[in-house]
Amino acid sequence: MAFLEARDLVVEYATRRGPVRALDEASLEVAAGEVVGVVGESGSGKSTIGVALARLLPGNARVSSGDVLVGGRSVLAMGDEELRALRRDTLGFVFQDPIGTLDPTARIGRQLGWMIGGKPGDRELVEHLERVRLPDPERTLRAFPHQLSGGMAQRVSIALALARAPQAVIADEPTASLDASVRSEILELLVSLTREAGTALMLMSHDLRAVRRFCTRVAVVYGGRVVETAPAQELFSSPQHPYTRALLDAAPGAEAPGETLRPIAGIPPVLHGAFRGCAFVGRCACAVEACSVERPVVHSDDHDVLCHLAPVKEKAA
Amino acid sequence: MGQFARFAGVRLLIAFVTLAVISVAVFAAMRSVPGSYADVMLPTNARPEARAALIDKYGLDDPLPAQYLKWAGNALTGDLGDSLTSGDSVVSELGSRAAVTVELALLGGLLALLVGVPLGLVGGISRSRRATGFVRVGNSVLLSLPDILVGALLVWVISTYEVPFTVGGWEPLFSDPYANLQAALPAALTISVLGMGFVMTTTRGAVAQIASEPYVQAAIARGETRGQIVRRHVLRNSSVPVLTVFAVYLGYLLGGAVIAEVLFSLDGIGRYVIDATGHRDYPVVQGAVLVAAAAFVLISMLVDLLYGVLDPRIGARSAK
Repeated sequence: MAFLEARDLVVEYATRRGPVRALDEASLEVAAGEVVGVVGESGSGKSTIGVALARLLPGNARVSSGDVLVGGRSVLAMGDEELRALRRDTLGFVFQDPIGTLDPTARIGRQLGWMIGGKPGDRELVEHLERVRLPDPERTLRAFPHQLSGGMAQRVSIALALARAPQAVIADEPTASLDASVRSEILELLVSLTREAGTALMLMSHDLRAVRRFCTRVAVVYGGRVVETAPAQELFSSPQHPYTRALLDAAPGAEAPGETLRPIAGIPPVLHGAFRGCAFVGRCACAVEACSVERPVVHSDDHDVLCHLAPVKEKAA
Repeated sequence: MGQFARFAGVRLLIAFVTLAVISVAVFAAMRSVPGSYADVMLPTNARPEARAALIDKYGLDDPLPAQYLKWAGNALTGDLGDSLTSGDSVVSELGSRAAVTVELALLGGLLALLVGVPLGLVGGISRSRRATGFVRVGNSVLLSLPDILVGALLVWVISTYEVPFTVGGWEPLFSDPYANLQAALPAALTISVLGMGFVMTTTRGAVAQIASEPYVQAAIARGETRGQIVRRHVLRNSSVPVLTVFAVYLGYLLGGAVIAEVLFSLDGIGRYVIDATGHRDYPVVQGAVLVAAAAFVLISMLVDLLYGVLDPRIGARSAK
């Protein structure tokens, strides 16, 4: 059963030039304890799915239809106090810019204490920092955020996210702002800590290699929809959706020596309403007539594909 | 500590240079006002001998640089000379009036903070349109209300209705605190209206900006309550611009508040300087301006230190 679920979620931002649709019936499930990678270009809507899960959408955004569920409860229907408890105890967030998301005027120990709640002693605080393998936890407790490196700050953020033993962690590009040298260390830490605790992890990332290495399942987002979901190995070995194939072809890391990377031609669409056909039609090499006039529906078993060309599989009984 | 000593040394040097420049400026300004002390003090038909005697007595014909150096040298030893009109020492005359002005400034500043910060906070983060609209309108009103109007209104209220306030009748704070506040509060309220507006505008802007900072968004995501977010993150992080405006306002009040002093018949620095200017009482004007400038410089030094306490990033930068 899904622990985190976005169900046909439509999110629109009010802008001066009318509504912009960030999510166009996106559906995504993350089961308890699962590590799900969410990939897609910038602007595809993957971050919006993440923040919608805790109803953290900015003021100009609106959920037009669909639903968001955590542990089977609708997040959209929650009262203020229930929602706050969800954010505080059930979910953990790891953000892209670790230093920016720490209060610049408070020492790390104090901020960690706020998160843990009560009046934790230094011993307890140090334990939390040791868990994220900070080399000098006593010193870090007394440090201000601006005195930390990006990697150290992200370890602190992970400690904050895990401080109340959440059931799911949502990490939006947690390593994008870090030095290349510490990226895989930080990801490894995040994945191993959540796995140990049996915490579900939703990892939004551009880094396909990391997603392949760490995630059990992968969801590909394009044009505000989840266009393909499959177990990681299967998705990388036999991608079904033309966009997924293009994305894998454009990513460094999997190419044979001498092979050139093929960037995806064109840019993703900006939606102002429901897209009439498949949002990828303008950039798809194998589009057919139906692609521009008919919204694709999901072809599903364990490997969901949102494409007119996908072979219709019978659901296993 | 070495860093701190260097910081303090640099600041003291800047303070000294600032005061030196101001002392030259006020000296030059006073002497360039048409009419000298002799013209003001003597009747127009005074005999030339009387005029010469007066000029000689106060050294008014000495070259200006010499006059300046003599005055500045004495000022360095803490002697600001004697008033030309009363003959009393400027330092002691300033002292009794400074007590009034400092108390008014502190009370006025306190009122400005007590009203400006909470309302600015509400205006900056409230989700209620009615509340933010109310703050917006209130803010414009406070900024555009002239103190003379507020003061006159208060004087009218005090003289018409039974209220526990008085116009005039100042008692020193430490001899009769209640009577002192009865006289001081209406005057302090008069001068605080503008400050309320300044503090409110600045708080509102700073708070609204801090509320969109990523660490506040992160605090929301971490499930902190609104109260916790305001106490832990918003207040402290938005305090730097508020402190800046408040310090300027307080420094301005320490220069004297002429209108409030006149309306409420209080003997503060403002009226003292205005009267002395009319009499071309050079030592008084020079001394008062110098003291007010020194107060301003002192406040800005304290504020610089406070910045470092409020925001550790600033402390790290200025210590380098």
